[in-house]
Amino acid sequence: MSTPTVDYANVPLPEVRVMTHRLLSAETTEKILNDIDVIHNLRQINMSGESLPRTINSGPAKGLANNHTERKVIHVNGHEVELHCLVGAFYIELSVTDEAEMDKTVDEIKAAFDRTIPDGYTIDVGRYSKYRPSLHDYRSA
Amino acid sequence: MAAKDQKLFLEACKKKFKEEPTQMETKYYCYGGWKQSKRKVELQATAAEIAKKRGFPMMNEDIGVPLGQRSWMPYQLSHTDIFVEPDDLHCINNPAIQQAWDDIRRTVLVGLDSPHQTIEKRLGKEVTPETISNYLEVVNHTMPGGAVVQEHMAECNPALVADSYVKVFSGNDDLIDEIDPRFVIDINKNFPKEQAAQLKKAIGNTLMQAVRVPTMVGRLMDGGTVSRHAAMQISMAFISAYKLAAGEAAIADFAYSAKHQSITMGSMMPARRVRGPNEPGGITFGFLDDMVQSDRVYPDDPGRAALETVALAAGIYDQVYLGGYMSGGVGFTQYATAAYTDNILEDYVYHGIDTIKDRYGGFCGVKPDDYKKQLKLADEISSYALEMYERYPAVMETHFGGSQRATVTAASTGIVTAMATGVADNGLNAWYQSMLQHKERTGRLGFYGFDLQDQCGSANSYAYRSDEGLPMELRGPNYPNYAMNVGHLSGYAGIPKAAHLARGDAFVANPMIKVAFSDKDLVFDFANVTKEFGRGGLREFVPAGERTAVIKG
Amino acid sequence: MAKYKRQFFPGTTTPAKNRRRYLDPKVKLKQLRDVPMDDVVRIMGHRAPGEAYKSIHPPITEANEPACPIRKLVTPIEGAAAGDRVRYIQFADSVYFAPISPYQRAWMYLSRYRGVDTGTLSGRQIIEMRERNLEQVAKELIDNETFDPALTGIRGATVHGHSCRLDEHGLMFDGWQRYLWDDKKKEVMYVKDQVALPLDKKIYVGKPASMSDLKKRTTIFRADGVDMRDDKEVTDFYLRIHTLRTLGGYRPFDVKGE
Repeated sequence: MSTPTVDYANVPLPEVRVMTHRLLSAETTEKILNDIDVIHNLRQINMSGESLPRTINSGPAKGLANNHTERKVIHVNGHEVELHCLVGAFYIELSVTDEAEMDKTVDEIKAAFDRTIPDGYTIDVGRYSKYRPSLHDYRSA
Repeated sequence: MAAKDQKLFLEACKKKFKEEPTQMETKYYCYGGWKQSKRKVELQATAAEIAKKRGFPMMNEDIGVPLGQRSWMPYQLSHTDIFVEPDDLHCINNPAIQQAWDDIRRTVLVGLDSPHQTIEKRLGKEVTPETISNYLEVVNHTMPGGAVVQEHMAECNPALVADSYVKVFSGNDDLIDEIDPRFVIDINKNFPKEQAAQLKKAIGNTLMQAVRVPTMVGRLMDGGTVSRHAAMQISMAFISAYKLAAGEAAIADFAYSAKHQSITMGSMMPARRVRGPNEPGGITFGFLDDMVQSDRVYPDDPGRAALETVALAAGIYDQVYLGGYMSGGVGFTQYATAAYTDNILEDYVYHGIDTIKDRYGGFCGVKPDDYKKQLKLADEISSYALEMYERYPAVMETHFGGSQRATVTAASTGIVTAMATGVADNGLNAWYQSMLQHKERTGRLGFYGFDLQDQCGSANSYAYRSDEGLPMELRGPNYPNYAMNVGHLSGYAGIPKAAHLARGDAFVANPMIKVAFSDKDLVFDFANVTKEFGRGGLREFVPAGERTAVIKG
Repeated sequence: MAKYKRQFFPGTTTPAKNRRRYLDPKVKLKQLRDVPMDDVVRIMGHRAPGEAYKSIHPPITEANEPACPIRKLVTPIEGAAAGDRVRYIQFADSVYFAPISPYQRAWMYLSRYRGVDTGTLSGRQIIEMRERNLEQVAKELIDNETFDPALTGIRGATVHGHSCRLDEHGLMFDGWQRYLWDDKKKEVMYVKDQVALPLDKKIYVGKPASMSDLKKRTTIFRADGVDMRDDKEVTDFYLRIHTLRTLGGYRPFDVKGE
């Protein structure tokens, strides 16, 4: 359980959104995550992409293992993460106190993506994800 | 940061935060801000507790920086800073969407002129501002379910029906000035001066009641009951207020006028789709347009008003009516919400407004019969929207289905063309032009059931002949070609609104509906539709008609 | 009056010309690969190679057909004559310069084949036919220039992907990964049939075309390719359809000289 997410969930911290021009393989995802994991002032990273189901969930093949080659365990900062998306976007929430610090952090993020993503990307800063709990979060309450 | 990127960053922040990102003292950078609110701290504590139990979705605590994965990003409610999950906007989950519909369904407008004539001419009693105020006090007791006439009458629990009330309005300022202001919807106070003048002129001396029966009544019975509930309780109030004998034949006149000389929000539908009055399929686009109040509160932003109309129509027509009443099952939430989330239609419409201001003479700058110019404009607006999908993969993936792209593209084209010509039918014609262009350009559109209505739409866009056409203001979900037209109705409703906004009209089809929905005592705020839907998703919206008062807690 | 000559599609630009070629049944489309018929049958997954066709009615010659002038007029296609089931193949076409897109598929099928039933959606296009005829058509459509291994998917169900960004190998996304990139051969291979049941063998469908080649072959107008606004004839064509339909329903007496 990650406590920080709820600690500041009601506050719209600035976020860096990186959309890669291509959907990334697990290998590239692992590489870029390790590259940005070391940057300071990041509160959390959310990745989004196209879902890779573990099993086929409809049709005549329902119930069979999907065996998608990119749904696999990657290693980030020495820890195992099971990917279940073909990642195409990163939402990086910043914990910065002023604009200069934000610019510096954004520059470091850019440098990491320049190094790792050969097919290019777009980057912008704003707020793109939820920061207050919504009905969905209370579903099991 | 390079100069170019710096600019992009500033623009993005400005757009997202709607304020200068360089202003560091704003609410967005005040990280501890929410802690100032006791309620929010409590909410936060609850959230933390719940989160502890269930685990935050997909978060991995072991990594240096917490890492999450998801295949759906939350939706941002357009022109707000609210983000919610897609299922938070399902009309079964979202109490604000439900209340928007409840507030429409429980409204009926009942004139007082006819009953006043009955009282004066048939019964020989005097009607004065004082007697009217007295009647209003009584009817505000009867309408929620209070008894006045007979003994041993069971009454409704006030906690269940607290949202029910009756107020009056008129174009006659002198009359309104004399009536107890607690029971008045004051056009002069609610509307900008120019709009108030138009509305008063259109309404004239008529004294009209905006009746809100309890939300619970609409839910337990149906929209058809609303005028009956109103008629019964209005009759009781007349009997009591004017000290009439309950058995007099004249009483029937009150009931008759309340049931049959009233304005319902939706008309009855034919047997094959049978519903009573005040059900969503019977609401014309013009009426729905008049319920939207953005142009009253933000008169300088017609784009917002058109977009708010699209949002309300998406909730009422696409989600509740077509997704619920007609289709049944889980409905069309994700399809309908494309029109009012993530500021995509926003971008297209505001770009279109800039275009007509720059090169087409502004609002009503294209003559409605200058068809060549209209074709050129619509071609341009529609191309811009399609180009955005082509240039920005994020936009293409947000509207990953062709029907979403088709609706949003055509809606922007229709809305902007309606603004340029000031005529809704021209906007509608441009909608169909966009559909044909879209299909030709990309080689794809929605799906066959979606596309077919748009392939024949050009032919009925100007037609006024019975069963083939109608002015756009008077069409609605029950118009023959639109009866199962999911994903279209939100955009359609925006078109007549846009035309009348451009003309500077204070209303689209019915000035009385416009005034009735300007009342602050409605549960749903019709001036801030997307915000209300968002508050519904955030658990901040408090609906009416809850049964907690009669359930052991 | 001059004899009417089918023009198939207007336009002067590449996508317009491609549409014309695809729609004109006299144009023999380029065959870019030769996927064996048995493999086509495997990918479709309706029957095993060599298995007899299942029938839903006796051969027409053995049936007591009612006396009907239409039946006399129309020669049944082979599968109909034999009583085959109606089966399908469905293609998903990426928005990123796939060689063909759903509407052109529908028009092309109706222009080139008999006995077809097509359904057109934004990302996919289904064609239904009597089984033995379907197999011949499916092979043609996989072998010829309307197919690209990376940007055309053979997907009977769960087709999401047409609007997604491509992956690092340039393949259109498929959550069920019916096809894979073979990095050694630089080719695309199918490992599951069109409804994602695993195949017994890998079926290679060839090398994807380069983006510059695809831009020459596509029927799709795009802002980052050929914009439809740059093709006056196509623009005039759609505007003409719109205007005539509009007048037809509003002021039909104003339609003159058409």
